[in-house]
Amino acid sequence: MSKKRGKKTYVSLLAELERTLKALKRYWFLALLLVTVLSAGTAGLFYKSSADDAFLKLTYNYENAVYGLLPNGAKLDTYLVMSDEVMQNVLKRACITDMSPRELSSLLSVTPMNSHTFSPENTASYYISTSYMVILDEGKAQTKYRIPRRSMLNLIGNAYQDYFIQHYTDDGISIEIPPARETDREYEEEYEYLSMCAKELLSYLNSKSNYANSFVSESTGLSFPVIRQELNNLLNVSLPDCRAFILEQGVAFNRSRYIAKINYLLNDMNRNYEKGKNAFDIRGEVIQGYDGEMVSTVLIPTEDTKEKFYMSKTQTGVDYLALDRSTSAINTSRVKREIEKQENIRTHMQLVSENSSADTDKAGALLDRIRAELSRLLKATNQTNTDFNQQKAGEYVKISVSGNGLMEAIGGKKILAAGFVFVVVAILFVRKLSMWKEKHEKV
Amino acid sequence: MKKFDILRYIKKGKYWIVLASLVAGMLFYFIQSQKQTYVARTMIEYTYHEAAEGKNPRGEDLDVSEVKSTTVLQRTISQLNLSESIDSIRSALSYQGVLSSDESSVKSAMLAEGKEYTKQPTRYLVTYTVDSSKSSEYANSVLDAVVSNYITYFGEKYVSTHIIPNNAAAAVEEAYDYLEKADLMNSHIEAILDYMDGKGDSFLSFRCASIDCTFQVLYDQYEFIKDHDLPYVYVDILDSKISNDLELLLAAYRQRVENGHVEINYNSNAAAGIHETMDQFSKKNKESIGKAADSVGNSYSYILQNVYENERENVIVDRTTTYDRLIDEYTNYLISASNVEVDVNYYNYIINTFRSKSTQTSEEKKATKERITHSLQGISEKLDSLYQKLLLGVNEYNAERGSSKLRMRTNVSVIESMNIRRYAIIIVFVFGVLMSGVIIVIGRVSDFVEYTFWTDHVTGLPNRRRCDQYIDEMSKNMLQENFACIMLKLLNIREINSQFGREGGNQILSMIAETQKNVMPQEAALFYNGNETFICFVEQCNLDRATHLLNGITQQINAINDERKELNIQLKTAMTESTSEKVFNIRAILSSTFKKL
Repeated sequence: MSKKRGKKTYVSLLAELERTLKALKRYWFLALLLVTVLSAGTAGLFYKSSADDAFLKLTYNYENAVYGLLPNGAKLDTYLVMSDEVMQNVLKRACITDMSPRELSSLLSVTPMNSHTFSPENTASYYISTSYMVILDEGKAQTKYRIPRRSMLNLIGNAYQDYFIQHYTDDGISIEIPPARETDREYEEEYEYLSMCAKELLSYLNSKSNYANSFVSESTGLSFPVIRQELNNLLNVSLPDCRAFILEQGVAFNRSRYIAKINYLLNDMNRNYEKGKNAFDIRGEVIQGYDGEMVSTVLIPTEDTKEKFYMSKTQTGVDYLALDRSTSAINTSRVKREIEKQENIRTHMQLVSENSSADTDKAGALLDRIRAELSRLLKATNQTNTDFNQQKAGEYVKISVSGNGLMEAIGGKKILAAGFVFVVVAILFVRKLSMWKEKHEKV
Repeated sequence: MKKFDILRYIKKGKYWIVLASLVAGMLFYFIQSQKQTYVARTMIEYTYHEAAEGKNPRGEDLDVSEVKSTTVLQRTISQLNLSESIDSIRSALSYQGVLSSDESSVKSAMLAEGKEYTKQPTRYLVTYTVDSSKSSEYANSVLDAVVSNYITYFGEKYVSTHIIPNNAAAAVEEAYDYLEKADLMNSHIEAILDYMDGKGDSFLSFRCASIDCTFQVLYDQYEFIKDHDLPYVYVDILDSKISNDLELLLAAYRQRVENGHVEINYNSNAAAGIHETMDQFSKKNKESIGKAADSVGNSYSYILQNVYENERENVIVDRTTTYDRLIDEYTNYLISASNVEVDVNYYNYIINTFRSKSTQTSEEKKATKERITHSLQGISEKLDSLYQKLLLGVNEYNAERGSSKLRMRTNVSVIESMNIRRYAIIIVFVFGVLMSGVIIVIGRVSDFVEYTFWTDHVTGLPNRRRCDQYIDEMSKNMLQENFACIMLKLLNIREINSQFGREGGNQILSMIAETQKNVMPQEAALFYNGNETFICFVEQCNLDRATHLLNGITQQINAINDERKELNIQLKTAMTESTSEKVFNIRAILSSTFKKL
């Protein structure tokens, strides 16, 4: 009985298949047209929905990001993508004037991607994502704007990238070099100031040269080591030459006032020197009077920094006294050196009663040249650094907006799946059409 | 009665099943959405050594509840522009210490052995719960901001100290004399330089991204002002003897000299007293150590063994000897006395300077005063600008230091109290099954009713009552065109009954009914009207089609007669088509057909 029924089903299936193939053969063009129209329509819908679903992906590529930290070691706070500063920048770039940064930020939400649900007891389940998804919900906007979602997300990503580079990465060095000579500043003091700026710039260039040794800026044509070499020339040749000229010729803007200032400094330094010297002497006397019998010491076999056997002894008060006295000695010597330096300047200034205009002009010209050169090097450093940052920007924060590719935008995989469904629908449709026609033809 | 075919009932009620399931699912989703809560969670970890002892970096008791402190929540509200109150956020925040599975095992083992487990958790699970009026993204962002601010707060409070206050602004207030203003600025600069010096080289070389320089740059700038700008102010004040109130200034400095002498005496006396104590202490101690050494043989036997190692395991205690303490105090008092003496000399120098006569005219003095005021204002502005940079830099430094002691171990993840979507799908499925059951029961009951009241049990066709009901229904409206009524009557039922019995007659009637079912289209309404009469109504059926159908039935009956000659079924047929006969009322068409029959 069941065999019979099975055979009947098989035969009826074959008959159905035959009828379907016949229908397809008869209405192939209609079926093809139907599939094409449905596919094109669905692709359009997917494209539209893809635009509506687009989101901004922020990926942090530096080492500290896996610990949830900024490049400088502070905590990474991705929610600053919604900060007023970033939003202000976005509105400015998008030329939107009737929307507040706060309103724009209220349309955004940030969530970590690939975030696992962790188990508190299982440390292996702890995970910090380095990718974040920024979603823009335009539907909530009270103030409407006519910028496509993808473009808006790109603007937000770029503004945040700039914000990140500016706030959390090395954004150059800020040194204030006066554009021209300050009229009430002494020549020697100006030399001191420019010398200080040059040393600060050198320190910065040293760190940059280690980090980006081979980078050559396209706009300046310079690398950090090259700028450093030029700065070294300034520090080793131009600046000492300038100081030598100022001191040898006793070039001063207001000699008596300058000497009075040196005298005041010397008074101040001498007081400090006197205090330091007294402390040094007192500690010396106390060491002399220290009763060694009061505190026993023992020797401890140990190792020194070269991993050689070394006999150490237990610390006692005299050890600290000696160390403190040594520190006093170094500090007092340092003050003494400053005193001698100022006395030397005073001596040079006192040797000359009045400067010729040639001397002051030359000193001024030397300082102007140094200032100009230093400004040029500072500018070159910052420009090279900006170029370096632009090249490396993606290494800190990479931004991408989903749905940028055509296949992604129209939903490539989805449309393939939908296409299969459409083919089935088309077959069923032509089959029904064929049956309907047959019925009417019979009638 | 119809066969019990489950699929038939389900097929019949499929739309109801789908509709009811979807409605149930949607209702569930809607109701549960109102009750949904989102719990944002993250794990923080105190990474410094003392945390395991329940201490903060300062060595005090660690207070994790500071994650809910007003400062942290206030900063969060301000950062995210929230409209919520501090209390509402605080009440939704909670934290809980977490031990890893290894730590839990160790704890259990120690407790089982009756030992005390003193190690404190260093990891804490911090959660923030919101109801359905807020989104999961909201919970995520609030908790992240709370933890960020807590890390900064922790850094400020325990890892780094607050920066010293900006006193340079006070230095330009009118209440102070010129010399006092300069002194205030000088001491402010010295305090800042000491502050930065005290933080060590790692602080000075810390590069602040917010101000694009290291602290060393700021240090140099402060030092430059101290060495090159401020001295000119002093020179102007002292050379020109500029003062707002000379008498008051001199009185103040005289007082400083007197106080200085008092301080010198105090320090000298204290030093002398300590020195005397040291001598006595030293003498008595030597006597006791000497006696002990004589009795044992050597003094080293009295050194306790392994004290250092035992103490090392716990908290380090200051074991400086009393003699060394006295030496230290003695030295400090002597140095203080010496320093005050130098300061007193300076105060005397200031007094003598201001007592001597000024060679400047009143006009020159006025110009000097203006220059001093201008210089002080300029220096104050420079100091203020530097201080703002320092503040920014220190905040960044604190954030970095805070993160080194306390950090997040996971991203904030949000879990829902119930996975509404999943349960909604389950509800749809369950309701689908339940509705199918209901539909099957209803279908079967209606089959039973249909069979009992509306079906002719012999032919299996709808009976006369059903036919009347159909006619009543159709008589409410005019008939459409091409509406056909076909009738069949079995003429020789008596002969058949007498030949084959009543059973045989019934089988013949059933056979005719079956033949009609096979020939008539599916949409045709077929009835057994009693008295061996079959009535069939067919819509969309023109005269040709009606004739065709009738012929079909006749042919099939004839075929049966040919096959089984003994049956000899004699049928009388009649039909009426509405369009051809211009009859558009069901009763009229029925009557017409009856007449033809």
